[in-house]
This record gives sequence, structure tokens and C-alpha cells, in this order.
Amino acid sequence: MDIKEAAQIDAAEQSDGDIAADGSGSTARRRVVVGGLSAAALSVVPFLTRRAGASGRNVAATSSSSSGNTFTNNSTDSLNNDPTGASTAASTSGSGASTGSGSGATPGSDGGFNGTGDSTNASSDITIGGSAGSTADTTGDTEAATTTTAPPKRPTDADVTTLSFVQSMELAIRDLYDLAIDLGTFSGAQGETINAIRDDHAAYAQSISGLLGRSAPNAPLADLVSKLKADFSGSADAMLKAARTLENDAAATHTEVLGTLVGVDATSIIASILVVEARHATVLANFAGVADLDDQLADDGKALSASDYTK
Amino acid sequence: MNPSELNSPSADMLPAIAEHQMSRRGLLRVGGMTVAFAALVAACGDDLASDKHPARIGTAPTVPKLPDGVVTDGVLFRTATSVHYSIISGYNDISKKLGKLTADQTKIVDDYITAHQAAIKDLQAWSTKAGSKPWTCSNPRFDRIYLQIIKDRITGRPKQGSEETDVAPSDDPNRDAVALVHELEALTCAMHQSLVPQFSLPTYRAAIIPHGNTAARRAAAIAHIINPDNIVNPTTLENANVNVTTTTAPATTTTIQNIAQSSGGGATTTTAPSSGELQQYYAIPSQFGILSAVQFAVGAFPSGQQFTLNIETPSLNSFIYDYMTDC
Repeated sequence: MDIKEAAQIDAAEQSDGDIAADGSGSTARRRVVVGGLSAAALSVVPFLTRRAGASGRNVAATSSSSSGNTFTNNSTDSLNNDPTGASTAASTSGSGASTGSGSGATPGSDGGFNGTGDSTNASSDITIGGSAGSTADTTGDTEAATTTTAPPKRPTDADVTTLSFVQSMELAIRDLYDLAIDLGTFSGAQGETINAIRDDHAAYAQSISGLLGRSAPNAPLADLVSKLKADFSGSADAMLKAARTLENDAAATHTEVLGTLVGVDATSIIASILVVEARHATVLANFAGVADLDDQLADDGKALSASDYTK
Repeated sequence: MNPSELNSPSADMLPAIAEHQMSRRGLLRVGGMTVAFAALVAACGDDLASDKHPARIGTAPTVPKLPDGVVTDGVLFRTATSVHYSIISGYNDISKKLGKLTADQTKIVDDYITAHQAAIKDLQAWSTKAGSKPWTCSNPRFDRIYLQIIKDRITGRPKQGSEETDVAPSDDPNRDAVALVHELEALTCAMHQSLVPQFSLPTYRAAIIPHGNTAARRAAAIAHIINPDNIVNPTTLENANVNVTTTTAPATTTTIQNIAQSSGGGATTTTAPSSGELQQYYAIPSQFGILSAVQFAVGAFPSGQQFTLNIETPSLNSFIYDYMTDC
């Protein structure tokens, strides 16, 4: 018998064996298929975890900062609304911890899996381990980061109250200039300038109104108008002196307001108003006949207080 | 026994060979195990290569690491201080030295210098409070890109580099010197206004803006001296719907294009401003404080128009960072 015959005999025996034990043959085949599918599933796991943004390394870094899901919308809002503008690592940590425990993103204290699949279990495992020891891992490889918290752009509740007073002040100043303009006291270059200054204050009130939205009072300070009404309705000299003083007071008010505002958008507007009101004061001093330069440049305004005036 | 029988295995050896040969089932089993093991190793492996640097042949010096320019509140105070120093330099080295100022004008400039010195003292104190070292000299970039150029336009100099002609000396150094005072005060005002929203704390904002307030007053005063007839910018008056009567004629620029013309393309006619037309300065240039570049027209009128320099408020490339220690 040559080798070909032997091979035929072996093949025949093998075939007989398969037929005789057909159940065990299909089982082996099934095992091979299951093994291949398992391999394919395992190879897809890292890809899926990366797509979900929850790789083991990221979870470890997160847990080192706050032992939970820190970067939630709640924590971001709390940073933006922080009136002090200081770094709030403690509050961030607190909100993160509460979010984490509430959402059930981490496994229970018994360490059991939540049954949502291997990928979830894998990331959860790293979260548990990261709470204790991942801080050293993450800080060891990177330089110390500068922690800065940008102040909010929008006005805070306290800012809204302050800006409402400022808007009413600007509207009162506009109304006072209207009194002088209606009397026709000024003409020529002075008349143009008084008109322009009046419109400037109207524009300031509008810009603050745009910042406040529906919260804007859009009403002048009645007490301020009644207090200065006589001066603005009187002689040109009296009006110019009163207007100059009022511009200085307005500039001083804006300076004081800048020391309280937290929202950055409002600070930009107030600063841009303040510097032009300072120019108004200098021009009005010149109109009023103040010849001395030092006197023209004098910045002796007194800030108006909201407690002294009612709408 | 023939040779073929010698090479072929005997019938006794065949079962042993059959036991050890690789069956199809075995091959699949081993193959599946290999693939599964390889997938497991790949999944557990690190994604990042340990060496992030590209391969390099030979030796090369280590690339120096530039210091980090962190913009802090102290840096902003230091920068404002440096610009005040630069402005004092501009007054002393340009306006007073080259401007042939009258006694009254000199007094004004001296008063302004005194005001800037007071501002420097205050800003240096705030620099310390904000955790930075006070700056004690002018802003090097500001001096280089603005003051030196202005000086050249007043004194004149031979052509340099790719320039086609020499820079002619100013036809009226006094005019340019006084105009410079206005422009530098307007810049000071804009700088302090621009710094306000950059500070992190309201206290610092309230500390920086008074210097913008006083600079605005100084700018208005000098503008009124230069241009007493036109106090408010005509554009502002037009925006405010005020009946404008001004002595300032706006520049006329007419451009006519006829792109449908078949021969020679469009005809373009531009009427240049008349020779000697001066830049106008207004005590109230706008409704709100402006942060755009301060435009300064300076020097002679070699081709009908003055050289115009855009002076910008300090930014990232002109801040005095904490790592800068030498004046």
C-alpha cells in the first residue's frame, strides 16, 4: 500500500468517525465559530469605548479631580454664576460627587457589575481605582496647570439692579438736557454740542437697556430730574455749570459701578460711556468759561447712590 | 523491495502518521485561538507610542523653550505703567525737543507729564497688589514701532531698506508735536478702557478706569485748543440727527466703474484730497469710547497726503509679562 492509499484509508476512517459521532463534530465546529466571534467582539471593544469618549485613561483623570462625573452642565453653570470669580474647585468637586452618586454611573459599594456590558464594567473598574490613586498618576506626568476662572459675561442679579439705576440716571440726564434744548437757550456750536450730548445720554440708556432686556426700567430718576430742573431751565451759565457737575457726577457713578459689576459685557459698556462723559464735562467747563486748564480737567464728581433716588 | 517501497512508509507506520497530522478541525481551532489572543493583546495595549519625537540623525542642540506669557492682572497693570512711561518719553523726546512749543504749550505738556507720573505711581502700587513686580521703564515695542517712526517723520531721514525716497522733514513740527499730544492722550484713554474687561476682579477695574477718565479730559482739552470750532465729530452729529454746520470739508473720493464696458475694462477715477488737508481732532469724537486704532497723520505732504500711523492699544505682543525683568 502506498501513501495515497493510506491517505484514502485515513480519510475514510475520519469520515466514518464524523458520521458515527456527528454530534461531537458539529459541536467542535460551533466552538470554532464562537471563538472567532468572541475574538471579533473583543477587538471591537476598545474602538467602541474610544467612540464613547470613555476610555480608561480619561475616566481615571476625571476621577482624580473629583471622584465622579465632574464636568456636567451643573458644575459649569455654577462656575459661570460664581459672583466672586474665584476658582471653585471645592464646589465643583461637590457637585460632581452628587451627580455621580445620583446618576448611578459608578458601580455600587459591593463592587458588582451593573450588567450593561463589558465596556461599562471596564470603565467603572478604572473609576473605582482612580479615586484612590490616580491623582499621583495624572499629576506626575504633567506640569501644574494654572487654574483660572473667567468672570461671566452676562450681568448677575446684583448687576441688573445696579445697571437699572444707571439706566434711569442716564434717562434723567437726557430729560434734563431736553429742558434746556426746548427753551432754545443755546445756538450755533454750543447748541449743536448740547444736542449731541443729549443724544449721547439717550444712546447710553438704550445700550444699557439692550444689556438688561426686559429687566430694564426705562424710566428716569424722577427725584434727580426735579432736583436739577431749575438749573437746567435757567440761564445758560447756570445750566452749563449744572450740566458740567452732573457729567462729573455721572462719570464718578460709573467708576463706582465698575467696582461692583461682575458681568464683563456690562463693564465694557460702562467704561465706554464713562470716558465720553468725562469729555462732556471738559467741553461744558470750557463753555462755562472755565479758563484754567487744571480746573477744566478737574474730576471732582460725586457718585450718585441708588438709595438717594427713587424712580 | 524496490526503491519506491523504501521511500514510502510501511503500513505499520500509517496510523502514527494519521494521529499526528494537522486536521482541518485542528487548524481552525488553532487559528481561532490565535486570532482571539491577538485581539485581546491589541485591546489591552497602550494607544500611544512612548517616544513622541520624530527620529533624528546626528546630534542637535536642544530647542530652547520660550517662557509662557500668562496674562495676569499684574501684567495688565505693568503694561499700563509701561505705556505711561512711553508717553512721557514721547512728550520729552518729540513734542518738547522737536516741536518748537510755545510757553503755553510747554506748560500744558508739562502738566500732562505730571499727570502721567502720578498715574505711574498709582499703577505700580496696583501691580504690587496684584502680585507682580512694578515696571519702571517704557514699553520697548511701543517705542520701537511708534515713537521712533513719529520722530523720523518730524526730523526726516535718508531712505532705508526698500523705501524709494528719503523721508522728508515735517513742514510744521509744532503742529505735529501738539497733535501728538492729543493722539497719545486719546491712546491712553482707549488703553484704560480696553483693559477694564480684561481684569478678573471688579476692584482692579475700578482702579484702572480713573486714569482713562482723566486722559479723556486731557484729550478733549487739547482737541479743543487745536480745533476750537468743531467740538463734536460731524459723523456723530449726523448719527444723532442734528443739523450739522461744520467748517470741515470731508474728503472727496469718487470711484466710477463700468465693468460692462467691452474695451479696456472699467474706468476708475479717484479724486485725491487736496494738498495740505489736515487731520481733524474733536473734543467729542464719538458717542462711545472707541477702541479702534488711533490714527495719527504726521509729517510733510510729499504726495498730497501725510503719512498716517495707526497706533494700537497694547495687546498680547506688547504686554509686559511677568517673565520680563529687564528694562
